[in-house]
Amino acid sequence: MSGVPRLLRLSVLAAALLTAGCAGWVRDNSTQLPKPWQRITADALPVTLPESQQFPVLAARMRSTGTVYKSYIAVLGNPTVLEGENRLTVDVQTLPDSLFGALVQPARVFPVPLYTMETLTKALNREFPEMEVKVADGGRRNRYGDYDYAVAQDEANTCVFAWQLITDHARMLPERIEAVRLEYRVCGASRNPRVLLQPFDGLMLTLPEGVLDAGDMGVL
Amino acid sequence: MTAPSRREVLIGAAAAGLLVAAKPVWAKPFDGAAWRDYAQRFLLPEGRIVDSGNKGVSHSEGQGYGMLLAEAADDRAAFDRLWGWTQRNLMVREDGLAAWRWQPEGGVTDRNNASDGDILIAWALLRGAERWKAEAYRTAAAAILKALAAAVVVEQAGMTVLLPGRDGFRKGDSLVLNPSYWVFPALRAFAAQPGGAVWGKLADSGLVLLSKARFGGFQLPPDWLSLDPQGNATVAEGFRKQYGYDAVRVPLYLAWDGYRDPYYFRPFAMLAARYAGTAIPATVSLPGGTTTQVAASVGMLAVYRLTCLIASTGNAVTVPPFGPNEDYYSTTLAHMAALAAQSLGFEP
Amino acid sequence: MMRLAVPLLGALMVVPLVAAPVALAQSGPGGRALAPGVKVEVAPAPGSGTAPQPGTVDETALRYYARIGDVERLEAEIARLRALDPSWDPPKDLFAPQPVTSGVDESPFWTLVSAGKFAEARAAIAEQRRKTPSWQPSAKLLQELDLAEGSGRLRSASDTKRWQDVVDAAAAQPEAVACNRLDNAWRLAEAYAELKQTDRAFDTYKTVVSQCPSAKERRDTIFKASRYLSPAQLRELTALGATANPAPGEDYASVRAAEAELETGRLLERAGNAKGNLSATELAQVETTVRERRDADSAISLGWYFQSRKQYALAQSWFSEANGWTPSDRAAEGLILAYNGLGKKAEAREAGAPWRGTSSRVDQALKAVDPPRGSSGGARPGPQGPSELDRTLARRDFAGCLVAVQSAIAKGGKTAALVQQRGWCLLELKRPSEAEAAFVEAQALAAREPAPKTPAQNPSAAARAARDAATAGAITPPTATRAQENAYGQTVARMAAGDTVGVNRDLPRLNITAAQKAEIRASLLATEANRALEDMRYRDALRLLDARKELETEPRNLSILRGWALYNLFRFDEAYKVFKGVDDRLSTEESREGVLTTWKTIYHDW
Repeated sequence: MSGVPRLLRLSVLAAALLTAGCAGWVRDNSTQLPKPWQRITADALPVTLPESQQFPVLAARMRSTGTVYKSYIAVLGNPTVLEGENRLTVDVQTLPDSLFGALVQPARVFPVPLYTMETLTKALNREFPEMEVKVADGGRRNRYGDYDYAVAQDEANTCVFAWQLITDHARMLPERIEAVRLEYRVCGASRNPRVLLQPFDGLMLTLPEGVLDAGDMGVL
Repeated sequence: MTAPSRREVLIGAAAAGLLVAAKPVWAKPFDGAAWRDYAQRFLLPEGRIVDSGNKGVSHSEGQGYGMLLAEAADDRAAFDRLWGWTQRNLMVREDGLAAWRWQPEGGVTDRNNASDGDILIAWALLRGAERWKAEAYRTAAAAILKALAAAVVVEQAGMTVLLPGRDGFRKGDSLVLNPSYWVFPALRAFAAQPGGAVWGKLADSGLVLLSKARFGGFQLPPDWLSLDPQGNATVAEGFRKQYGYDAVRVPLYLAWDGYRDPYYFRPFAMLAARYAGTAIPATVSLPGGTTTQVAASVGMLAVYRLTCLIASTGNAVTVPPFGPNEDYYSTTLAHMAALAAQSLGFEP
Repeated sequence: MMRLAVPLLGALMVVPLVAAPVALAQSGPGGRALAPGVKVEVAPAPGSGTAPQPGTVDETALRYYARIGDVERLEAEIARLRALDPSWDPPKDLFAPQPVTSGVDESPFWTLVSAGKFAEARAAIAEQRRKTPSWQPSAKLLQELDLAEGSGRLRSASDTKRWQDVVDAAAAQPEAVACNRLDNAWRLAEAYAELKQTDRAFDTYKTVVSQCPSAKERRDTIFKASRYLSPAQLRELTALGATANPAPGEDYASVRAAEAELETGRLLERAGNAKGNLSATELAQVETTVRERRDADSAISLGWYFQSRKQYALAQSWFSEANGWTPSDRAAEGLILAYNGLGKKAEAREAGAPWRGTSSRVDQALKAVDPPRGSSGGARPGPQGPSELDRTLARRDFAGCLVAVQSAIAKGGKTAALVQQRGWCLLELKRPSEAEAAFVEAQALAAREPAPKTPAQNPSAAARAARDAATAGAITPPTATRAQENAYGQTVARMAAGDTVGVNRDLPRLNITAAQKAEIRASLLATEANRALEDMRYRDALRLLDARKELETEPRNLSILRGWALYNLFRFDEAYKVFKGVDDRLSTEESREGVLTTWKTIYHDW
């Protein structure tokens, strides 16, 4: 295999560059940067959330990064007066569909592992400035397996922040999809974080190729 | 990708190979017997060298190496068969260069050239012309050199450099280059031809480039580098960022051409010294320095042995005998290293 | 010849700055450390041992410098050799032609080294060694090359954040980290800090500020160190830099001032944070520095600090100062709200007059002074104290604004004006999607409400407009209609949600005022310019910034972006001018970085 790329690359690169025109060259890294956000309808999201009075889907947007990443944001209702939007983010990483795509990949749109203690602290401070934040000791479980979350509170409000990475190719993910990253941020009036987590617990991915659930849903 | 290539020898297996070798030896000196064995395994009757590690394809590089070995073994019949097949099947471009790859199904599917393949073929032709006093070979070589000079020798940042192929290696105002395509002893032979000054310049710039393109803890050259208009060399984007199967030929060609400055050999010798007693990794990521779990092949070890002798680092690299299925690239590298050593008067 | 006798270039210049705790790979006689733990023996060239015995000093470089007449380097080399062997004297025949002893003339290699062409020098040496296998280059020549290449390795490791490699490169080539290579010293300290070896970082900074004579460099070092060191360590560093090893002719007052400047920056940052309270002493310190420097940006920060604590009189005085030093709509915005907090509505209106209709932030602030009809609950005109909603806006308490709007709606019903106000407050709370929905809703409500009177039909408003125009000494453009206000709010919300593509597409058709259109267009251009820079399309970035500049003066952050675009196009002089201009107004880490990097590039001072 080692020798194959050594020679193959010659033609792959040449072919790819040849298609770029004859009147001089410009750098082609624009394809690797995230495209600007585009608004989409809620129906076009690859996820369905359980009906919710408190957290309806208010708006949806989508953007792609290179040919392998698609990111979606569902902006959810926010009954509080706190700063920041309530939202569910879904990042879908597909496998490149060409050898050239495999050679030229954009930087990951999410790191793996998703968070270190340091980056998590930063993210929570950004999401919930001036609130008391606590990372839950144990994770929870939804249709797609275990996830982790943190709870932020002040005198009047409670917020939750949950994150999850789906990479199980054996059962859950279709062949074309390398990984799905979910991130959920919601502030609400309830003091009980479980109530705030209900939409995340009940969400269902609706990608073109089916994503299966984690399998042992007896616990839910 | 299908079956793993034979170039991939697991570290464990290679280490076991090291233990059984009683004393440092070359893989084999290159002689008539070595050539007959090589031809039997990789040279098909119609005159093409099969890259056994790559689904049985043939390419201009392999034809060039095959012709060089046939010339060294004084096997003119084989040489002619190789050259004939190359002319009929690869030299199908209008510009006099060879298409780089031929597949058993489909023949030439990509007409781009690979500059090192053209260089190796031209060099073999010049050597053949000397050995067999055959002017036709020299004429053919001159035509290839003329085509190369027109198509792939370019100026960048005050240097004369070699594009790896005619098309597709300009990225913006930078060039993508392959340091191992500087076949120094060939360039010297070209420079001695009438009107060959450009090849001398190319060789001079190659040395400068190799001094610029040193990365990571070992200061190794990358397989593919990018050269910007200001003369800055970086590890090329869009390729695996590593020192590996390509760049291992850099010290081989430098040694073969008579260079002795330890500065140019130390990076490779230090890599070998660092892994003395275990297996030298086949690739090193640049500049990070992450090594692969794949060990250097027999042919690569032969290059390291030669390199360590020249860098005078005091460590000797042991080269195990060929495995029963040693692949085309490893076997070729080992024979090239032996030819280089023999031409330099080193003990095999 | 007289100059040779003068005490020669400070030995300081060659003192390696690698801090003591670093395990250095020592180079013994004949051995040269190339990488940690690896040594390669190099047989000494005839007459060029690396450990000088009395009478066997390597004079190769010396003679070369003499021959090419490079007096400065000649003196430095004499100083170096004297330091190695005090009994040694420069040869009398330094300027006499020398027979070439080894059969190889080294001067072509030295010429390349002098020109900074190290790769070319290496290539030429290798070629020479191929032709003359018995020849070896002098140890001095190899040292020069090793040093230059060691510096290069250190820099490239640092550029790619391979911190341990930075430390290793410095250890392998200690001479690469010296006062005349200050940038390398900073990079080494940074590497230690990133590796969490703060003590070593601190030691490295201490060595720099006590060994390098230039006051400017000591001061720059303190700014560099501020990213990594504690306030106590910085105080120690400043004290050391202001006193240790003073060189004649250098004024270290600026070194001492560095700490106060850093402290002011930190305090202002804390002041800008809603939670940060400053002590009386701290406030006094900040106020003094801001007055001394007549720094409008910092004055505005101080204004907001007091405004958010309802100390409206103090807030008003600082916004006034800012507006006096550099008039801006940002200062006017603060001034309007501060006057409003003091109940001085006439002064508030007057402060806003020059910007009315051209600055959305001023128009917004003026709404707190004269709330749109209905915002305080509907039909209760006439003089009365500020409503709860007014008070929240004056405090910039946007969460409070949402509560106040909600309670006003509960009391008097939904009005277009109230819902629009909710939209602006949601925008301030970084909730653009909800804000956009609010503006859409406000628009629908407005369509059902009786048409509001235009200023011309409203005698009191018309009179006010006329008075404002007189005050400002200019004709103010027509103020936006309510429909335009809603469309504008909606567009700002879409921008905040990242829908630049959509806004760009819809902009020509939007029913908003020309001034609002220009503002949105400027914001789109800034976004595009940012993207172009990230994408390394530097010419595009400049093109977009230039277009934007025609619409609005360039703010600080975009000037910095312009600087980097110029830098990356190798237009270093222009980049330097841009960075310097920004830095002269207010020096921050960003602007200093730009100035320093460009300066070093121009003067090859790496």
